[in-house]
Amino acid sequence: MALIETHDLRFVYGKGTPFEKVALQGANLAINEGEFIGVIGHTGSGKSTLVQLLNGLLKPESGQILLNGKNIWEKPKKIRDIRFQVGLVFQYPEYQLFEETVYRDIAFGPMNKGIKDKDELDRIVRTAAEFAGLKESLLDKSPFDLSGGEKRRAAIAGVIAMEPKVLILDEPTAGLDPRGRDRILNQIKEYRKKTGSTVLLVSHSMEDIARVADRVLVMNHGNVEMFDTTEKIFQQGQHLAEIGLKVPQVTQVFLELKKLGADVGTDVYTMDYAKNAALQFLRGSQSEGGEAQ
Amino acid sequence: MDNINKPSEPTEPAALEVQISAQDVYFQYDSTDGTPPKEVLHGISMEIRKGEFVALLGHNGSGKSTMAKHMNAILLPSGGKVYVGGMDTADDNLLTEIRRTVGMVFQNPDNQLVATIVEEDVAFGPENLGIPSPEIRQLVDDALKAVGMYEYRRHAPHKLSGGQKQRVAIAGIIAMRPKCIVFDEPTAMLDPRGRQEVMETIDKLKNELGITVVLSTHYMDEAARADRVIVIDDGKLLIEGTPREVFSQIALLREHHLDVPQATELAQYLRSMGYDIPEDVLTPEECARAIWTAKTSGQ
Repeated sequence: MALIETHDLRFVYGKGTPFEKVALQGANLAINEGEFIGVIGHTGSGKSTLVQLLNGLLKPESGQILLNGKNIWEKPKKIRDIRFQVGLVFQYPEYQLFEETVYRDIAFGPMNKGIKDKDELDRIVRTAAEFAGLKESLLDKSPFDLSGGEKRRAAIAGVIAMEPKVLILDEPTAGLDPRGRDRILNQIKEYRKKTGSTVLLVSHSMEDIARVADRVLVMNHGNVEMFDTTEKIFQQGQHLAEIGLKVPQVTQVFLELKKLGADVGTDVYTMDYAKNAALQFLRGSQSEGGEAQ
Repeated sequence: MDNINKPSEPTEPAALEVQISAQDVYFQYDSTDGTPPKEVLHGISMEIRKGEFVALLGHNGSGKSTMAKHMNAILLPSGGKVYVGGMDTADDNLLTEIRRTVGMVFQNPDNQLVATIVEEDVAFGPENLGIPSPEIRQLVDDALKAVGMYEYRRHAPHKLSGGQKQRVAIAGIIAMRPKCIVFDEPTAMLDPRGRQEVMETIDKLKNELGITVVLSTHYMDEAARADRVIVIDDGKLLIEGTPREVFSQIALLREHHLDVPQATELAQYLRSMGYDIPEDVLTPEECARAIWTAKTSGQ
């Protein structure tokens, strides 16, 4: 059984007003436990609406979301519990820090969840900070004294501290420099490896998605356009371009090579993979028709 | 404006006039809590020439955004000088003229749009400058056409996509007829299509309107489109040169926590493995051609 399933999930903004807009028009998808899912789609494709539905922030117009086989809206009063199980890190989460110290900010979620034991809380806060790559020495500081990248990691730690089964991050690397981006992506990968959590990462960066995702969910005009392995998705360069998306730059190199008449695969999407595939091509050992695996 | 004399620097042939000149600029942010002020720029000098497209690179906290804000007197140096078209940015009396010469576009388009209709938003700047109405009409129409948003002139800005909003923000600046536009990470919040729209608009500003462009960005593929790249690290100039020159310094850039375009990295790797691939590859097309040439000429 899939961990998360949606059935004909539909959502409309401003229903009954002149601004009515269908954001999601009947999405069906299934995500298994422990998967790392990349979510892509142009602005307005419905991807942010989808992730907010998954953690119960928005209520579906119709259709269902099943978490472990149970409809999350079965008991609407219990919806808060769902938000502890499906943690959502918003875009630019650093603007949502508010406590006096980083420590208290991270502790806010678990305290709300009902964790009262001080030692237990302390363990949770420190573990979350470590997962997010925050130094111990930062915990007693005011969140407002941190750098941009540190603030964002503090905000991520606050969600991790709720120990969610599913961690959803909406553009966690937007606006960061290459080092900040690499750190956050590596921390997320590490977190998922150690905890076995399911992770959904929404991003506009195809290179980021290519680096971390097992499967990629492509949203377009409120529909699930494609949902497949990362390799298969990035083979669809033409299709992605048509819906306002791109393939990673290394994939473009191989698409161009193919155009020039080279016998290469176009399922190349990470740098390591590209280096091997290009070497094989140059050495001429791709002749059995095998593409680099 | 040609009286900023730096006669001691007979560097390149003086083909292009200087638009912005920063000379040994220091800058510190004063603290509010009694801690010592934080110095962000430590004696940085650079020149932006008329009609050039210059990309500023540097990690967060490197000082590149602080530098960009010196280019239209949002910030003033605590040491050294910045000249815009020969005007000293520290001279209060020149402020209006400096801001008319250099416009600025920021990261978040939502924070830059003020009106409820696109054309009113674009008219906001020229109105503030006191330009007569009939002339404004023309300026606004021209500006909207230049960014490809004329058809949207009666739309509500908040209903546009991110790339469209950013283009309207750019039109608002163009309508003031600046000689130079400084872009501070204008694509950071946009999806791939929005990024492309904005980059195409920037190319057009430079090529068709002759506007000098300074682009601060984290995206190496955007910097690759510039005439010249300036890399700032720790408040100082690290390297500058054409994109080909700068991006061929992979090791140096990595050391300073910067990236190179993937196409450049792949090409340099193959070169390091002994293949005959040029070291200054920038785009996927060039990379593919280089690999193809290496393969076909080697047989």
